[in-house]
Amino acid sequence: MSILIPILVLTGVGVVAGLALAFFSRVFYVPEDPRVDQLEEALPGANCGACGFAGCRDYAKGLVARNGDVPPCPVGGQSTAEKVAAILGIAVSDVEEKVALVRCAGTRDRAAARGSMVGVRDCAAAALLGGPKSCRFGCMGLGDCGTVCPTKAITVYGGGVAVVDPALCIGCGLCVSKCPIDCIEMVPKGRRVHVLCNSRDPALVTRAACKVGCIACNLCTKKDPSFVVASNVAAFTGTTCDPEFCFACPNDVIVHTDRYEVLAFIESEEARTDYEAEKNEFKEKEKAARAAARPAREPKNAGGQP
Amino acid sequence: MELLLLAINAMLIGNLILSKFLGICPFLGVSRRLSTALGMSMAVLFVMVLASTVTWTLFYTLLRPLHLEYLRTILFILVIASLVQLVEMVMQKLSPALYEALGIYLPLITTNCAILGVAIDSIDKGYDFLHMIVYAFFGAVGFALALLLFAGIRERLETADMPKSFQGAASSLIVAGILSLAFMGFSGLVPG
Amino acid sequence: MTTHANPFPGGIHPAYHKDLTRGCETVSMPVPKILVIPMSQHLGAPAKVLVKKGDLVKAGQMIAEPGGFISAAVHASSSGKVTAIGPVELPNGSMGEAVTIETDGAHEWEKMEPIQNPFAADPKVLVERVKAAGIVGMGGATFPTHVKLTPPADSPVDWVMLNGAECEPYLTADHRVMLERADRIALGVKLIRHIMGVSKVSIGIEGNKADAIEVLKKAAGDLAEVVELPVKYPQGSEKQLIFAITGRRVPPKKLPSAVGVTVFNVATVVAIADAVIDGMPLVERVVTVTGSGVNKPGNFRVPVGTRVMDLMEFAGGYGDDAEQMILGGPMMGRAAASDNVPIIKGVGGVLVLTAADMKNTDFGVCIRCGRCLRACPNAQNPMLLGQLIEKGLFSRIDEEKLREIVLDDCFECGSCTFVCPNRRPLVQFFQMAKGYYRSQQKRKG
Repeated sequence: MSILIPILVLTGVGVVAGLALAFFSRVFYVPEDPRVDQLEEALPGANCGACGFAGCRDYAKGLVARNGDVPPCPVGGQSTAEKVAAILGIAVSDVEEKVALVRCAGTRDRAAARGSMVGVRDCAAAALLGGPKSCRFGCMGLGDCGTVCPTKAITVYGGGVAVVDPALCIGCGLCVSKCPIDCIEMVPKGRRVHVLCNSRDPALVTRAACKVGCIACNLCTKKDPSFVVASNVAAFTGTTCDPEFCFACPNDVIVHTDRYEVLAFIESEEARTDYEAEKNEFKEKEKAARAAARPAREPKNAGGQP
Repeated sequence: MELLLLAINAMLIGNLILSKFLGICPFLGVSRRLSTALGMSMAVLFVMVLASTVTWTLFYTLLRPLHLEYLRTILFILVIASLVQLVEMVMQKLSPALYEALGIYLPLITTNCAILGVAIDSIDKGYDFLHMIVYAFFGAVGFALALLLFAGIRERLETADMPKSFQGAASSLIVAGILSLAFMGFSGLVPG
Repeated sequence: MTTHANPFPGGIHPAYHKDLTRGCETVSMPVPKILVIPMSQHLGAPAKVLVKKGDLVKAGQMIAEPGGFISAAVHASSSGKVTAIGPVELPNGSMGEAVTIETDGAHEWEKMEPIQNPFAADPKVLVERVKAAGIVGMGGATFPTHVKLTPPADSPVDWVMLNGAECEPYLTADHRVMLERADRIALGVKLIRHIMGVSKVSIGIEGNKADAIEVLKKAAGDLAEVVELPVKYPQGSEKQLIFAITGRRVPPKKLPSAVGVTVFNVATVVAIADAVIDGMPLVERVVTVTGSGVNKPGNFRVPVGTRVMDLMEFAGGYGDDAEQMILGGPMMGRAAASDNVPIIKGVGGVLVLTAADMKNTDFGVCIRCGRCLRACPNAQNPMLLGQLIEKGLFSRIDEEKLREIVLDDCFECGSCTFVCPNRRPLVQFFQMAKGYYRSQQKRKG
């Protein structure tokens, strides 16, 4: 019989505790939106903080509190945005998945050096003295962006310019805020054409500083209105264009990624020779076209004179 | 005087973490930042006093009269776990600010052996109610002391340059060992 | 006045190398062909340009007016034609707007009217004159002097100090000014006493300039007391100088006027006297060109806006093994990547070093010797802060606290870097942190 006493005591205490818990969970119930958990499930869970919140759960809470009126998750892209919209019951706003792009092709042999740098080797330190290159807007190649990149997508190659691997980039934008000279930009993942220059200096200064600088000559904007020139530097705003338009650039700063990867375009000798050949070919063709166009005009003039 | 000795004993000489090796889990787990260590310490202080009071009362009103002393471990685990849950709920409702500060640490304490250790220890040592409260309170203060010291050291360690094989957990464990050795030095503080 | 054996806590004793130019009398440099006059030669808002491209200007003509309350006017240093207005590289490596003048060689003056009988004049008139002359602190901080001359009403000034410490190694520009223009300094002191209505004036000079102390004692008479200070770097820093002479401590983030003191550089005082007595604006300054990489080291009176390359040419050019150029002194000056930068009002020295002067710049880990703690004149902890900044752990430290320590307290004297046995670039780390916080603030808007 005595075996029943401990069993009873233990069961009794357990039942009391259980009842108390059940009771208190009713009385002290704090409503929490179940959507927060669902949202957290739907988010990428990288906790990178690129959205401005302190992690994915915080972002989910923010989404619920403001009913989706917060900037979209830059990592998750379209699929996450759809899931979030479904949970919150709102319309999907278009989010573009973005990747980082270092807008500089000024490797050591192309951009002039200002002086030799000693001491702390780090972009933040170099930027205080205007950087090691004569171009103040070009990549300094000391790799601050690479150190903050959570996926190690940014590497400084032999030419001394950082290049982003678009396959690894998750679009968190940490490198953009780290770069002291704002040389990195977030571009839509699907964009095939990039202007690899950040120099906001006037043409003369840019040309003196770097062989591959954008001098805002507007030749590209004449080819395709998707190119825009603002504050002395061109940018491509569309998705893609005829690869031949890129050859219009006199300073070779426009890259079409269907033809060349950004990395190869900056670093590889072969890609460069290849590019030169193609460009020459294109120029010949253009010249021929112009030559063909000219005689066509003459008869018109002739016809105009009675 | 006796209570003072008890307090010193609980806090320094018989430090829960560094001489009894109880509660090593939060000691290593939440000691990366001084601020989180402080939050954890406060939560432990709160729960330890509360849990000891409840378990002590339960032991002397239920188990002792029924001669069921051998049930105390399993019963205490049950009671402490539900108690922490309960406190969490009450806190979330009545004081959201306190919940924000301590809330995330409370579930971690549910299975913290330091809480159970103090509850059982104060019965083993036959403390009366007053002694039990002092023991639990200063035991928790000792816990906080060790945790904060360790968190402070770890914050500094992070800035130190050291070989890769020593970085992180390895150096933390070495530091924990040295801290423990240092706390052994208190054993001469109270004669006997 | 007693001076203590230890004038202020912290500090260092570097090798001074002042003998190179100590005995060189100041030589006036002829006006160069091109003058590049930046609009931002002072602390505060850049000046607003008043001239257009193609204008003809005269020496002493105001070409830019103050762009705000804390700002200063800028004048043409010689006569000629404005050929360009646009961004140029400044001595600190940044870009800033500047007026480029092609000089005509005539050096035609257009001075202001000298103020007759200044000691009977209203102090306000004199302050206006100082403002119109574009005078800024010439010790390097370039704080607009007219602002200093009118302290806020809630913190009256009872003690004015002249800074002749010149604690930077190599530089002797202030030393020469004190020797050669002692009478002007005395006149300037008299003017400041009249403007600010103070009776207590001290001139602090380090003991390694015994001749200057003697000359100034004679010139100043009972106008000012000349205090001989023990030699120690960074005594020329305002707060350290004030503590050494008065024993008053300026709280962090506060100006010296908070403890009733105002400090002027000796060269600034000369400029004040020149502006009032001769009507001459601040268009030239004494610059020490020195270092083992210079062929003919010396002290030169240089028109503001002279490009460093022209000055170097006048100083006999670079030595064969010249390696690094620093504008300012070796401790607080900035390395220059180019000599195509203008001399501005705050640059007191051009230092050219050879490879032999430059120590190995590779640095190692902190060995926790604590020397930087003893050297820091602000009683801060450079070693810990340096480690945190090096590892990029800005967020680890309470941000407000770090800002207080790094941004507001540290004046980048470089004592910590100087004493570090492992050559850790501590002060460079703090400069980085300042740059970081400035960019953070800019991003926040």
